[in-house]
Amino acid sequence: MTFVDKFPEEAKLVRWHFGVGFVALALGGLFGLVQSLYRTGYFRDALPIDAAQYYTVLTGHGVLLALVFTTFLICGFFVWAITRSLDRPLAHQRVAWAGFFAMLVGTTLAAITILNGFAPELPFGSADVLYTFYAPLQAHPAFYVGAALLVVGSWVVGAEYFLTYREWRADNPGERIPLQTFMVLATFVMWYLSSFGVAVEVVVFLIPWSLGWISQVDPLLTRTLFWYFGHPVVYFWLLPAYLAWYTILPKLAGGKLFSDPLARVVFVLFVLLSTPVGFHHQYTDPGIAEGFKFIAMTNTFMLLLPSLLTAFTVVASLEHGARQRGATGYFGWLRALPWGKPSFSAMALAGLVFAAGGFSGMINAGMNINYLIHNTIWVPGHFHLTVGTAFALTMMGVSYWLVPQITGKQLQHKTIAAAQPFVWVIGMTLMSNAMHRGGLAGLPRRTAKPLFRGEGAAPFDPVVGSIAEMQLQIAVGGTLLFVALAMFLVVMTGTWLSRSGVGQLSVNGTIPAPLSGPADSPRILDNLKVWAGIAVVLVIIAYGLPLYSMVADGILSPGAGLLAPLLGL
Amino acid sequence: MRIHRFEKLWLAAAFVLIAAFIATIVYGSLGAGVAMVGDEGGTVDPDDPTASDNFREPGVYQTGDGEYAVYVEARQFAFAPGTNEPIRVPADAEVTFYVTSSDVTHGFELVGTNVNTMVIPGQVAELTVEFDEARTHHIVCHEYCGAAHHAMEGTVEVVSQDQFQSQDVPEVNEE
Amino acid sequence: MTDTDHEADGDDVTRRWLIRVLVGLGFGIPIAIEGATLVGLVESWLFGDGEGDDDAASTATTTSEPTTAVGDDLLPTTDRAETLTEATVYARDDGWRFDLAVDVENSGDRPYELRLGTVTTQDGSRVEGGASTGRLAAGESATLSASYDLPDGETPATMAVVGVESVEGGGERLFRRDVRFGNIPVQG
Repeated sequence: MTFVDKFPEEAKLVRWHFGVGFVALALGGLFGLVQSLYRTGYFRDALPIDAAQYYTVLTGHGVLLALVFTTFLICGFFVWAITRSLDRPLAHQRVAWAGFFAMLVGTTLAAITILNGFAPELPFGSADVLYTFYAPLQAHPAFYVGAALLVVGSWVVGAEYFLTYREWRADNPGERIPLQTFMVLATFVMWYLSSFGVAVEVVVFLIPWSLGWISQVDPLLTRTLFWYFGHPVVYFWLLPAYLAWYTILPKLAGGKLFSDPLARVVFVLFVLLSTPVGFHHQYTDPGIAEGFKFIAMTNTFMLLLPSLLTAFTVVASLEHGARQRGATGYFGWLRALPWGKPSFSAMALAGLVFAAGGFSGMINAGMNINYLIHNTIWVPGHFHLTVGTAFALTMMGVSYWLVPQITGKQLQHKTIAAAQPFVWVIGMTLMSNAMHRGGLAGLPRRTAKPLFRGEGAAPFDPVVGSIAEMQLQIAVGGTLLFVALAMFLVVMTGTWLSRSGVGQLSVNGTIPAPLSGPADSPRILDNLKVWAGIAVVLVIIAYGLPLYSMVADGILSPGAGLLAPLLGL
Repeated sequence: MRIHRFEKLWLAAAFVLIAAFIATIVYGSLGAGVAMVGDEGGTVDPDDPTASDNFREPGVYQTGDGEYAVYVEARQFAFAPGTNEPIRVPADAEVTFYVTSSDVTHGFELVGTNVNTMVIPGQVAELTVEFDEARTHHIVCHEYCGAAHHAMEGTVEVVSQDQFQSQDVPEVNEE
Repeated sequence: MTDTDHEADGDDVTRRWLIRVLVGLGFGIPIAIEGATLVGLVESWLFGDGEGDDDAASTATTTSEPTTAVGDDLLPTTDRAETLTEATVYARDDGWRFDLAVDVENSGDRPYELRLGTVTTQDGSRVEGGASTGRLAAGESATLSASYDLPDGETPATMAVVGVESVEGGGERLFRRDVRFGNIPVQG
């Protein structure tokens, strides 16, 4: 029975989340195209923006894609995963809808302030502060309220997962948590722990400051709170992709998951280690002792472990699937995989690209190597492989498979869909390769015009290629990515608008049991309270002292003493 | 819990890889002496950095035999010194940069080198460099700092020791 | 148990070919690009030093072209002093503006006039405008200020400057130069 027929209300909730996410994707993607044509100098004059508005575009691109698109897709996808794997409707649908509307209102507020950069006649004021919104650059209060509502809304949707799980547990005492539910809950334990940082930053400091209630904030403290959330958020993006790779991808390949216990171990490791790593985004920050940076680095490298384990399990599951389809030979099985099926090829390619992104991430994580590439265009080159492909392309693959199941409609434009993941990967390879090379030559990120005013590209000394050639490669890659995005949206819109009930769906939500089931694993793995407790201890070790010293030297202004600025008001 | 033999091997290899990465970094800092930014620079009042003991009037100072200090104040959208006039320092000397910001967060990077730091209001970034050849380095602000961020740049002119002697650089005693 | 394979078994032969081509390109292009990058990296690691020095040399020649900064003479070929005393770009919400000031001292023995003309931005836009000291008698000095409205986000690269020296008998002698600016600070 199709998901939409069995759980019509939950399917509707997933549809709304995906729908809002796709709108954000469309607008954010368009901004991405504008950026790649503007900053590389190609068609700069033909574009209707000036250099200052480039930063409006950049803010919109980051916020809409990295924060809005991701959060809506994840929350919707998890509604499906919880409902399907517990095989029961949500406990309190209203809670989930309340969370959804909070996120929607938050997104609308933030979007209006960002679009203010193009149309000052819109309500509120502007918010050209990029998605990292480092103080003392200031946005209109509506931007911060919007960001807070987005995060808090996701907490409320998350509460729904735990409430539903609790009901299931009451009916099924002693049973192992179904794998997908376990993954959802583990992801949200991590999310609650880490997004707390940005919530404090925004609610305690930035909103009062933007309203003029407090005169200043400590730039280093707010920045540290941002990165306390800013790295775990990438695991908030990644873990849903892992959920898809572990539970859906093997089935699409014609096989089953290799090992359920190891999947649980991987998620537990992410709960433990995702948060005490944020200082690796602050290796070049003054005011943080090297020792704390070193602790963050060690934790970061330990996080390689669950990702490497995932690589093994996923590839092993795919090989198993291919051999079920009759493949032989050491590498021959690769040919037997269903590359023409867009849901499969999108997820499999996303996984391959993530491997490359993982390697450039290891360079970022190296405390002293990082100095060569910090804030160069290498960094966006890296995260377009991770959030921009490992997450985004996986979610496109999920959509090809799941949207028919939540709408009850056949996937339309199948040829476009089949081609789309490959166009995306080609575009991403071109863009990201050039970005990495440009970063090694010192080309900065986050700038409307990366070249020097007097000397142009001359001060940059690329190891491979020339700056002009890299710029061209970025422009071509960015254009191809936009084409691939448009293809995806055509397929989704076509499917959504098509007539329902035409023939039997060519997909179904059945997920075969793993080769090695949960019964083989210790029960402690399922005890999320224990893991959450240990995670909190690790966070206190990594963050306790440095946060204390930032607060102690003046909570709103460094060098002033703890409460001096407050008293001075 | 059963773990496949291949998976055990893979796990072991992963641990070796992780240990090797950490060892490389440790060697880089202890063996090769790659300097990094820490909290040595101290804090200042962002509205008036020079009022604090941790920062001086922007400029180049001689602090000892072959030792120089460069105080740079970043603000929208210039480095002082660096943008209006180049920062002139001698080659083969120990040059310590102290960089802070009097408005928003900026970046300070010499293109193509690992002289790279965030410039955060209230904090002084301290990094010590030795330039081994006389040449011009370009400074780029690599953190978005406002509408004209892309116009924020500067230069460091590294000149030979002989050429530098003629320079008029105030001498100070560092703490 | 698994998805039925309607999609993969589709009887559409062209689509099957399309997928083959795309799989080829989808794997081929990344492998080619990353391979080329790797070869380039290894090459520069093995033989990189020589190449790097060449690049540095060419950088030096491009940067050694003389630029004019605050404190410099705009027309070194005249025996008058035309000193740039101020040059700033103001990035304001209502547009970007380039303000400059020049101290002119007519230290010669004949009347002299300094004219500032069109500014060209780093992006190649031409901004008309200008200013003139008017005729300065020998020994007279003046401060000349000018202001140019720049396209948003652009900064000045060059400015046309003309020095006009009156010649005995009513003629004029012109000194033309396109002054190239160095780093002009941008202020918010």
